[in-house]
Amino acid sequence: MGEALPFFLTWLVTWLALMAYLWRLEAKLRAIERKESSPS
Amino acid sequence: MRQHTGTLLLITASFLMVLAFGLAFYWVPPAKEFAERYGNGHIAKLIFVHVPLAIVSFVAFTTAAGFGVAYLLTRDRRWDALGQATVEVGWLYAVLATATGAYFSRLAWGEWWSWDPRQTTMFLVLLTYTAYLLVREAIDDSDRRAAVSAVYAVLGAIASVFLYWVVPYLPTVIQASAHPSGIIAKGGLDFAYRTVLRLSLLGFLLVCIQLVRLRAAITLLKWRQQMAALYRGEA
Repeated sequence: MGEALPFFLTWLVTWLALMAYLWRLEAKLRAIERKESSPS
Repeated sequence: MRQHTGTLLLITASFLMVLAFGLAFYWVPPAKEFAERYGNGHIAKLIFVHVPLAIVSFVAFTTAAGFGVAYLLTRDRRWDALGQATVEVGWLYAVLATATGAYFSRLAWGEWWSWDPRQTTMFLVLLTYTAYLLVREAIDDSDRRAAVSAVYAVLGAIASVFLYWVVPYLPTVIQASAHPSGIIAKGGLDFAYRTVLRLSLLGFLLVCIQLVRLRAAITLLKWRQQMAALYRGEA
């Protein structure tokens, strides 16, 4: 288990970084869509 | 429809990634040559993350060139949005590939960065596309920005072909590099490594596609809002 730790960490950090970027984009898109649908 | 496709892409990607991770952890044996050379055969498994990130970043940069050509031919704003999104996501993948490569370097040779030819070429790729993003930000006129970005994306892709696939494989560069691709190329990857690498590559590619879709949608919506404001006389 200890020897496989670098692989585990690499996989985890990479996956978290990609998901964080994805969530940020989704939040941004939702905000823009809300702005568009709200009456100005 | 857009949301359904996105959810499907993400569920498939997550399934593939978890499967690849599980197989890498419990099925793939530690690599003998890596164990002999670096003292830990398990670090070979970093290729399941590092290699797909690097390959998908290259795919993204060349696809961006395709979108650039499509924009120059049609002047359709969607191609510009897709081109920008693809470069931005490709850039993120290239950063992660560089970071995972540096981590491998630390584990194998004891230093994060040694200006190995592979590290240097990847650094040049990052510089090239950081400049693309900065150039885009610096141009106010949207038509000019789109045209310049399209031409830049085509030139960047030509540079990428050399930096990813030509320079690192020159005999003199192979001799000077400590990158373990030589070990992999010499013995070939065994069945377990090949299988997990393909699963992981597909997973990372699907995540990339979903990120590009979202990023492009944001750019297009923003542009539409700007145009609407312009027509209303607000800008």
